[in-house]
Amino acid sequence: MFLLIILALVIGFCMFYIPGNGLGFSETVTRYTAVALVAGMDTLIGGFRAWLTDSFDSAIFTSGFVVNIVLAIGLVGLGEYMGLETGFGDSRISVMMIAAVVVFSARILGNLTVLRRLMIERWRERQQEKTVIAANSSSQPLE
Amino acid sequence: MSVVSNLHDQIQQNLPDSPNKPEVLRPRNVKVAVSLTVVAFLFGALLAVQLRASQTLRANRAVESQSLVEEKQKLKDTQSQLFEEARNRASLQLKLAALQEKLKSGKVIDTQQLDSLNQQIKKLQVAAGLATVSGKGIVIKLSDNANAAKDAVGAFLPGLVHDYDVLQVVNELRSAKADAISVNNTRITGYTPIRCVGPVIYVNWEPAAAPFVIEAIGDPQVLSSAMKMPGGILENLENQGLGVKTWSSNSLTIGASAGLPTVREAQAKS
Repeated sequence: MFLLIILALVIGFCMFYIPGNGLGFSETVTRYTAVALVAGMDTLIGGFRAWLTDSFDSAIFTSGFVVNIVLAIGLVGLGEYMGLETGFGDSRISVMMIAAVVVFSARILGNLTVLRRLMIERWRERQQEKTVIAANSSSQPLE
Repeated sequence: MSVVSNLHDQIQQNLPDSPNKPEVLRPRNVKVAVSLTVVAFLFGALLAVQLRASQTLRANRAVESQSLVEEKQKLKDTQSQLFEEARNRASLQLKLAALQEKLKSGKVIDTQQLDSLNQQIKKLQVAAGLATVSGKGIVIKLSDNANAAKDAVGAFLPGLVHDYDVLQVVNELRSAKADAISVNNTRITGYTPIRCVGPVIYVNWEPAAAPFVIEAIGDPQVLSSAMKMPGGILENLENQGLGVKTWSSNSLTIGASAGLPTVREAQAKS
């Protein structure tokens, strides 16, 4: 499964990255893909956290990934459509994009904090168990 | 994702008998594998799109900045040109100020130039008849025939001095290169008319009557020989019965004409 996931990542990357594949991406795409990437990262880290807290659900994870991305892009597009923009000329940027990036970044950072705590706790548990086992194994021959 | 599965595997290996591990977490679960694969694929695709788009963005920005640099260079060139022009202007203004200063102090024309200008003016005055001149020359005196009335044929009186006689004499003197001519003390210039009005002749609108004394400054020999030419004007007049006397003089003085004529239409072409 591990290899399959890596393979899927590489294939997906290559399919869209190889130059001359006929897909021309204009500058305007970057703001949407950037927001989509942040949303996707949020979902991934959320999934990781769920895994560690033993509440991972594949349906929730996949749908969350897709819907988060679509919603983020939709929100940014809506903001641009409604003229919720700031800045002048070419440096104009959608306010909704800022909102999406801020919210997702906050969520990512929060999740990362929880993840770090979880991982450290797991690591400590393991160490404790190891010492217990070691103590048990060392005490056994004595008995 | 790799971290997730790695960690999970580790957890699995290290905690084989974890009591609170639910069934959903089974790594060989097909659903989880499929969902993770799909998500990984999508994430890879997203990454690729983002990279490509940002690359084109960067390229466009490079082009833009290149054109900006060119514009900047152009601006710099224009600026330096302007500076140079300003400098030129400053130097020209300095020159102008110096010249104005010179003009104020009256040192524009030096005395030599002034002398030559004055000489030129004098020459022109002499030629135009605006200066009193003196020199060698001849004098011609034309007088009426005393017997004119007796020899009269109708209205024509032979032996009278007519305006055209005087004109002819003056013309002859001119063709002999006389420098200055006067008739009865009236200077003849380029503007002087000679015409008959009643019993008198008007020379430059001044009435003049016989005898006419015509003075001419010039080489006396050339003038007199030109006038006394056989079949010439004086012989012709003598034949008509006019009294003609000619003598040369070493010191003739001919006055200036009354003044400059009024020039109405003619304009000097520069």
